[in-house]
Amino acid sequence: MTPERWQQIEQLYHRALELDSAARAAFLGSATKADAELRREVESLLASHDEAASFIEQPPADIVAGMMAEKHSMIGRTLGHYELTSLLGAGGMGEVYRARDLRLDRDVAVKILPEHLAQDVEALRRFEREAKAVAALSHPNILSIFDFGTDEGTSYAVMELLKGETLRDRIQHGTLAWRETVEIGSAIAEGLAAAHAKNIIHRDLKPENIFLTNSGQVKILDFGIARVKRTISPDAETLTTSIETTKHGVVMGTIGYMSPEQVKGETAEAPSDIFSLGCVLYEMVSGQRPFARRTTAEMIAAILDAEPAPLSGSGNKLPAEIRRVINHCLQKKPDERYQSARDLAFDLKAMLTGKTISAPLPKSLNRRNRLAIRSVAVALVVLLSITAWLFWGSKPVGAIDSLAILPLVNASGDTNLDYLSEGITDSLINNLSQLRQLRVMARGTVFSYKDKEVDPRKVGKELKVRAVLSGKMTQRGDTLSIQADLVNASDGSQIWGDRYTRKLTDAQAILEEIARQISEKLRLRLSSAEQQLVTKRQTENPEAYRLYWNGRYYSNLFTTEDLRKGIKLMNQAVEADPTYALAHAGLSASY
Amino acid sequence: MATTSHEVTKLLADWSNGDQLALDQLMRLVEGELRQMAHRYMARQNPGHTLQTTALINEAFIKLVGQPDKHFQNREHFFGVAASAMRHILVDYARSKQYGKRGGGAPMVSLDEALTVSEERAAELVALDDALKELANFDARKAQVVELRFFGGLSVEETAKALNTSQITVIRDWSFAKSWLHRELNNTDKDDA
Repeated sequence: MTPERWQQIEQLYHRALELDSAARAAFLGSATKADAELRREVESLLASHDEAASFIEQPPADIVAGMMAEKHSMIGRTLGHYELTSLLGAGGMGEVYRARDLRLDRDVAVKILPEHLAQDVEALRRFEREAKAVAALSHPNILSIFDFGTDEGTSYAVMELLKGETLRDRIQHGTLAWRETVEIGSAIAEGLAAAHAKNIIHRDLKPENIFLTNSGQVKILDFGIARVKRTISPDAETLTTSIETTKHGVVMGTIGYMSPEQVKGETAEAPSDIFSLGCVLYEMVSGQRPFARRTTAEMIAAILDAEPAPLSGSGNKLPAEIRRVINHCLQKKPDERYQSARDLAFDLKAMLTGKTISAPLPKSLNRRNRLAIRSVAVALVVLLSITAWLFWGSKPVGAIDSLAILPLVNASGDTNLDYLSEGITDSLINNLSQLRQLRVMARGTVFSYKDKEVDPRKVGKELKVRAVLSGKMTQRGDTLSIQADLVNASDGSQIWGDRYTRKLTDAQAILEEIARQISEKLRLRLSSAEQQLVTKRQTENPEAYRLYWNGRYYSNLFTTEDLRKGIKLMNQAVEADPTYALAHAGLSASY
Repeated sequence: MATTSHEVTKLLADWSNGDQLALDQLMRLVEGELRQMAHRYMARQNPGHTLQTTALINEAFIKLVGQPDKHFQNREHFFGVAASAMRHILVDYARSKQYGKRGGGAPMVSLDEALTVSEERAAELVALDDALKELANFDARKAQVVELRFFGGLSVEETAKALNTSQITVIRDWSFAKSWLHRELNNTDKDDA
């Protein structure tokens, strides 16, 4: 190729890049005229440009790491009665060599502990204890440990030598058929169940740690080692620290498979391994990690909050059951996952034989969830009436004309209700903002206080509001409780506070009862606290009152049809009493 | 292994002046240093820990050489030479992995985090190196841009300084070279198949 030609191609390439795809064709057509080859050349480079987005953008960190991992060789040395013959692999937890057991005359794998662990007495003791525990397991799906020893300051563990590939290698060749996924998955679950029965938690389950032998066996590697690593490594910094160092590098660790509780730095028990296995299963059938994101920080946020993308099973037909099983593993709350690896193994096996599985149906069909939504409607009714009523009364006094509604704390222990408690807060803010008499802090302002212990007086000062409403939602069985407190921000005194407990079910029937109780309670409480406060009732029309609360209930059920019904009812309420401001406010919020 | 920073600086200078033997010596020194560093980095590995090549390369060279001295006009030139050395070291290593595994009949066994470089990955790097040489034949500057940015981890600004050109030129060279290299590597794949 002549330099002129090369320049020509490059010029056309850059000019075409500035155009959108439609304009490109026209431009290239006229610029290359009859030179079809020139056009082909530029077009193929443009196509390559679109594919090459991430190509060579990151320095080859993995190659550097691989090179560095192969330190001066131990090959040829004898540790105890094991002669090291070749290096098999290396990683943060030391190197693994192929070795000859000179006594039993067989090949084994020898793992040499990194120096910083080998010199730590406590670490060694712990490693030995774990090794003993794993050795005692002797399970076909767990890598066997034969021996453990120290030779001239070098500590090592002797393990069975496996031939085959890691699950990572297998996944890299393409996604697995669901049946194969289920077979491998149930073997892993069996291994985990055996370990969990002896209180051994893996804590670092990932495709790299699962080995598929040439003879078709599935083995879990590095059992319990993750714990040693986590607890005693002198550099076991907090996650936060390592996230901060992620900006330009490559994540070598395995955040992608960590459970929410691990990410939060809480103790990881058996359900944590079940979550990790869920991630592995998800990746086996889809080729994607469920919480893959561009940065570690985003990945952590996704593990904590995001639902994984629905498994579509690209190409291969994926039974609904496997989605249910994986979904059940990936629940954010440990106690909402499979309660044991044994249960998980059971479900996976049931799939192979076409039996019914125990994993719950997807949430949208879940009755419990619908009840939860109803409970929000109830809660909303409670809080709305508290606040609205109160401010009606407070107006003549003029003492409180501004309010911060702090995010309702979901203390139910059920993260499924999280968005509901947020929704209540949102709706409260939206609705009360409609009231001209009252300045209500915007969502963005108050949500910075979410999940924080705050002093209402401090909030009052920071946001310049006279009152602060805080609330807590708890759930026990099928009952929902809401504790609400309204505090005078100037002196921290409680203006009003109460607790409401109702059944989650049958919200319809209790709506009126709650509304009635609230107004009674408020009137009582307020009249004792501030005699002049009650000057006006929301509406003198009981029918309008009933219609509004009914409408409010429906408009919070989140389906279009219910919303329409709710709006209709609230319209009727406004018709019955045109001065009924809360109904007006409710209507505007529903549109 | 008494390595003086003066020695390394001299070797880098010699090599950048065309002394090929200097690179061999340099590689041995740098590799030794890198491997020592490996231990410290590996020891620090935690789940979620990162390995920053750029930082590593910079650290390795600064440790070896101290601050770039008068043999180099500026910091960028120094890192330019370092990037080039790094390319040779890494590609040589990748080549050895590739040939070491090919046809050796060794069982694929791995018992730990997959930190070992796969044959495939090694082959990719070797192919990239070959394509870069090809590119250098008719556009040396673009090949240098890739070397500095990919192997040296230099930013656009640093690359522009090292090559004594503008940042916009570096950006355009980088875009075109990337597209071209990517196409070359994919074509090779198809030819092989």
